[in-house]
Order: sequence, then structure tokens, then C-alpha cells
Amino acid sequence: MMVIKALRDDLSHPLSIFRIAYGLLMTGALSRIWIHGWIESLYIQPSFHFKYQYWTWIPHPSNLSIYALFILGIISALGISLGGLRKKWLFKSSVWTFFISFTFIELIDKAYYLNHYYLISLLAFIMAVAPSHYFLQPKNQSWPLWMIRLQITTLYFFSGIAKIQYDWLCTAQPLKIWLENRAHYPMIGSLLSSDTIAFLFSWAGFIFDLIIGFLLIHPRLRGPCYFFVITFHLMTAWLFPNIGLFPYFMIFFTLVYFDGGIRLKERVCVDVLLRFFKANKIISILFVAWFTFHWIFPLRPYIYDGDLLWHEKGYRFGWRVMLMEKLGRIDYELRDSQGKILWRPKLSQFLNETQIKQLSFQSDMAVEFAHYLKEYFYQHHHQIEPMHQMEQYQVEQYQVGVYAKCYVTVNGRLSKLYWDPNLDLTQFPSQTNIVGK
Amino acid sequence: MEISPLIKKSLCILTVLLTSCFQTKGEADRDILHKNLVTAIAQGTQDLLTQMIQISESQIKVFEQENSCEDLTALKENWKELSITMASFEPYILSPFMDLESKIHSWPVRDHLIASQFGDSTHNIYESAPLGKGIWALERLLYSHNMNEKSTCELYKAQLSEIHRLLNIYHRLWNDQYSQELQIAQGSLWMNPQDVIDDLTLASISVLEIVHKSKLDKPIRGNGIAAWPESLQAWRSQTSFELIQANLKSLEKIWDHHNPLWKIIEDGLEGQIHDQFDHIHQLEKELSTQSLYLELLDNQRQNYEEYINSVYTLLVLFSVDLSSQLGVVNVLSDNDGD
Repeated sequence: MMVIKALRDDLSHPLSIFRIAYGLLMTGALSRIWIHGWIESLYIQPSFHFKYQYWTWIPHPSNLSIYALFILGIISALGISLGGLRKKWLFKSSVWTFFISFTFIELIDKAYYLNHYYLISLLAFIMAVAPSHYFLQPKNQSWPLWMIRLQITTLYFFSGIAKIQYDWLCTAQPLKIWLENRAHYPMIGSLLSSDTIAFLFSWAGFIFDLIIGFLLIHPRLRGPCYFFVITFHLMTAWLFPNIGLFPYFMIFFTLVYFDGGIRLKERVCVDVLLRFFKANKIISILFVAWFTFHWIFPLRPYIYDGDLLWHEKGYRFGWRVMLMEKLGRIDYELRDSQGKILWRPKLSQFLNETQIKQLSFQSDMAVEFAHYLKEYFYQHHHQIEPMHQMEQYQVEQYQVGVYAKCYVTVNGRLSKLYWDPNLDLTQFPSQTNIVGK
Repeated sequence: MEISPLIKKSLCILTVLLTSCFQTKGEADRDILHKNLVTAIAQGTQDLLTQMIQISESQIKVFEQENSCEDLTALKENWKELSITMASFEPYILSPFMDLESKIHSWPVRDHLIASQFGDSTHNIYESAPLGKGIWALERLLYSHNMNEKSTCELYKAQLSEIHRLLNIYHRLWNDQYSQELQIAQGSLWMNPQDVIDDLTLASISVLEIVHKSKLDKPIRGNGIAAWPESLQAWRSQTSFELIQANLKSLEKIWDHHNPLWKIIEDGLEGQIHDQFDHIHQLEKELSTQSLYLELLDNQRQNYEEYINSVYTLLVLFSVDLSSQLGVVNVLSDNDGD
């Protein structure tokens, strides 16, 4: 009876439901990476990993440590779903452990950056810092719930803002390209190849993202809007299988907007929250500071000149989701000061397919990898073809430069050179975005 | 709020009309597109496989009549015909044919692997490593100074028979299984029509990649100062440039104006690719008729600089623009997912 009552109580509060959904989804997501063998292919096999700017100090963990991080992540995610078995210390330690292990995994390589992984880290941080451990939220303590709701609203709203651009609204790109490639789908495949549908989806997606986060807050609109959330995300899951678990995350995360049992409604309404903030100045300042940052930070690309989709300066951590079909090709060449070609490295020797694809159209990654290639060449030149044909060659006597020819296409436009192929990429500090300059 | 029955009815009619209108046009287009694409691939594959079988068969018959390799000129002619047909077949090498390609078309061959087959009557070519057999092993034998010797001739015959046997197997597989699967595109080889598009595009990119990197850039540019003539694919027979031309001509045929895929590609790219092919052919005409190998021996590489760059531009158009528009390269984080 006690267990049933506890479960009923848990399922009657939005924060408890969120904790359960979050924990179970994360357990599934991390286990899935393991089961598919992606720990091996993403984190262990590549001999090089792209660091995030300002996070270069993050060490690359040993193979064993990577598995340990995943084990910690899975166990702590389970702990979150169980609400720490109603023990504060257990819940808090679970959520902190999950936040650290998951974020650490994400920081290993920026080639795998995804907006929803960023969201997962932020939500874990909110749960870790805020008093989100209560199984029944005490009166006046609903602000952690509101933080989670507003964080999700922020994601939707800014991914809507990001869609205010020519390609998305006026040419229905990249949806036109993507939907065209789904024309073999049963029943409605033929519809998908029509331009009208691409425009319809583009505009519907834009309006949906822009307003859904706010509509979900409104008690009367919440029900019908949740129906749209489910429809929208299931549709994206069906149309874009590569999108993986993101739609399911959002379907379950948005349950947090529901108030749960009627008796709890009073505790989660806005008036109560405002009254609480008036009485607790420090929390209210932190709350406002957090969201001020999160509402300004995604707008940083607007201070840079040029086409954001082309140079990608400030693109990450800005809720820019499914905005472009971008593809590139990069061919490196190491030459000495006399113009002698020393090495044309084969990228698959160092990187996996995902890394190569990301590298081919992100200049900060291209510069970072150029530095690595130079370093590698100095250390291993005697083993590299064609260097073994030049036995007398003294690498140390010459200035070696790393050059790359890179062509990129965005949203169906004809490809162009991404930068001058005569630039020695190693003359720039590692991780410099040379296209955005 | 009650929706009036009239509005409900109108909405229903509008939906049905819109849906039926889209379906009629789209479905018809898609069916025709897939059918035309498969027809083009099937025709080329069938023709080239048959040709290769006939070429190898004709030589085998000659061997049956005159058990010797004395007529070297005829043998070289036969080999050249076979290798050029294989070069034309390269852009048609879809995933099920990868295995065939590795067994009869791996290069550069390793001398020691070929040498190990001499004088060993029990040696089974079937089991030998890919770099010790196939079309390129034939070239190695044909242009060795001891081709007139009996053992070399015997090995040549055995190698040719093995190629002929493999070609027949794949021809049978093509007729009995692959061509049907290609048409249905619902089996294990191609799960849907998009798989067929992916496969064909990747085969084209692979050809261009090899032509650019291994057949042109590496031997001609060498280390940037001196060329490496012996890195050419067919330096012994001095047919390297002809083989490259055959590769590109066949590729152009696949992507000519009749290729139905142009209908689903944004305007501009088709013209760009065809112009690039024209430019390449123009350069081919301008280039010397002397063998590429001999030119590289004289370090006359600069003539080919523009040609290499033009092939690279074509490679970019295929591997970047065409791939992007056809949604060919799929990795984990595509569509911002996983």
C-alpha cells in the first residue's frame, strides 16, 4: 500500500514525473550508445578528438575510464529515475554524478555536439543545484520546476528564432532536400517530394518552435498543444531516422508543463512563484541571471558579419536545430618551404566518418586538426609514404606547412572554396574559425 | 467551439483533393524515376559484363587451338580490350560487385605473390591473394621478359581462366538475383530506391576518387618536384591514360542528360557537371598522344596540371554537391540527431 501511495504521489507531481522520465530516457540513451558499439567507434577508435574552445584541458580518458563514465552515467540516471528512493543525498549524488559523467563524455569531442545533449546537461545541472529532490514539492518551492519549464521553452523559442532566415522561410531548405530523399516512404512518400509540402513543413516547424513553449505554459491550451508536441516529434522521428532519440526526449520532457493533481495546482502557479521570489532575493537574482544568460548567449552569432550557416561562428550552443544540409570535402597536404609535397594524409587513418564529415565544413576543426597533423608528421615522418623514398630528407631543416583544399555546399547551393588553399593552417592558433574572420 | 458542418465538409473535400493531386503526380514521377534509373544501370552492367566474358572467352579459345603465347601482339591487344572494358565497368560496380572487383581488379599487384605461383602445379589461383591475380597480374606477366616461357604462359592461361570463371559467376548472379533486387529495391541488398541512388552515387565518387588520387595525382605530381611514373596504373602497357579516359567516359554516360536523377536535383548542378565533363574531354584532346608514362619519364608533368585540377573539380561536384542534394552521406549526427 505504501509503495502504491508513493507511486501515486510521484505520478501526481510534474517534477517527479520529469525525474522518472529523464532518468529512464538517459538510462536508455547511454545504454543504446553502448549496445550499438558507439563507445568504441566514437571515443576509442579515433586517434584524434576535437576539443571545445576553453575546454582543451579536458583530458582524453583511457578506454577503461570511458566505459567507467558510461557505467556511472547509466547507474546515476537510474538513481534519478528512482528519485534517489526518496533520500535526498542519494538523489543529489545521482544527479551530480550524472551531470559530471554525461557532460564529461560530451566534452571529449565537439564533432559529436548536439543541441539536445547540451539541453540534457543543463537540465541535470538545474536538478543538481536546485531543490528538485522533493517527492512532493513543498509550498513555495516550485521554482526548480519553473526553471526546467523555462529551459525547455528557451530551446523551442530560440530554435524558432534561428529559423528566421532566408533559406528556411523563402526556399524551404534544407527540408526540400531532405523530404525529396524520403519520397520512397510508403503512402505519403509522393507527397513529401512536393515543394508545397516542404514549404508547409518549414513554416509549420517555424511557428511550432516559436510558440509551443509558451502555449504549453497556459493551463487551458496545454492539453491540445501537447497533442501537437507528440504529433510533431513523432513525425520528425519518422521522417528523419537519424534524429535518434531527440523526439522522444521532447515528448517526455514536455510532460513537465502539466500541473499534475488538482490539489497541486496552487503550488505551481505563477503568482506563488513571484511571491516566493520577492521573499528570496538571492534565488530570484540567480534565476534571472541564469535565463538572462541563456536568452542572450544564443544571439551571439548576430554580432558577426556574413552568413552564419556558412561560417558557423557562434553556431553551437544556440539551439540551431535542423537548419542546414551542409557537406564539404577537405584534402590536406603537408608541404615544405620549397614546395615539396611531404604527405597527403588519409583522414580515415585518424578519424571516424562523423568526425570527417564535421571537419569538412567547420574551419575551427580543420585548423585544430592541421596542428595535430604537423605534430604527427614531425614525430612519424620516417614511417610515412612518401617520406621513406626520401631517406636523406632532414625534416628539421625545413619549415613544414599544412595546407587544405576545402569545398563546401550549404542547402543545395553550388559548392565553393571554404578558404584560400595556399594558407598554412598552422599559422593560426588552434581552433580558429578562419572562415568567420 | 462548434465547427460548422459546412466548414468540416469543405475541409474534407479540400484535403482529399490536395492529397489525390499530389499523389498522382508524385507517385508517377517516382516510379518512372526509379524504373529509368534501374534500366540505365542494368543495361550498362549487362552489356559490360557480357563484353568482358566474350573478350576473355575469345582468348581462351585461341589458347585451346594454339597452346602457346607466341603471338604476343594479339595477347596484348586482347588484354587491352579486357582492361578498358573493365575500366568502363568501374562506375557500375555497385555494392554486390565489390567482391568481384577486388578479385579481378586489385592493383598494384605484388611481384612476390605472382612469383609464388610459378612452377607450383597444385597452386590454386582461386585461393591466392587478390594482389597476386586478376587483370593486373595478367599485365605483369604479359610485359615480363619471360612471357615466352612455358611456365609463364601456363600461369597466364590459368589467371585468364580464373577471371573468366569469376565473370561468369557474377553474370549469373546478376541475372538471377541482383537485377531483380535492383528493380524491386526491397530486399537485403537495396532496401529502398534511395539505397540504389546512394549506391550508384558512391560508386561514381569512388571512381573519381581513385582516378584523381591514385591514377593521376600520385604518379604525376609525385612529391611535388619529381613525378613517380611507376605509380601509374598501367605503366607497363602504357595504357594508363586510355583507362582513365574509359573510366570518365563511362561515368559520363551514367550521368548524361537521360539520367532521371537530374529531375530531383536543384537547377544548375546538372549543367555544371556536364560542362566539367566537356572541359575534361577538351583537355584530353589537347594532351599529347604520346604515352603518359613516357612523358612522366621526361618529367613533362606540367601539361597534366590542368587536367588533374579539372578531374578534382568534377570530384568535388560529385562528392560534395551531388551527394548533398541526393542525401548520400549519412552519419550519426545528420539532421542534428542521436
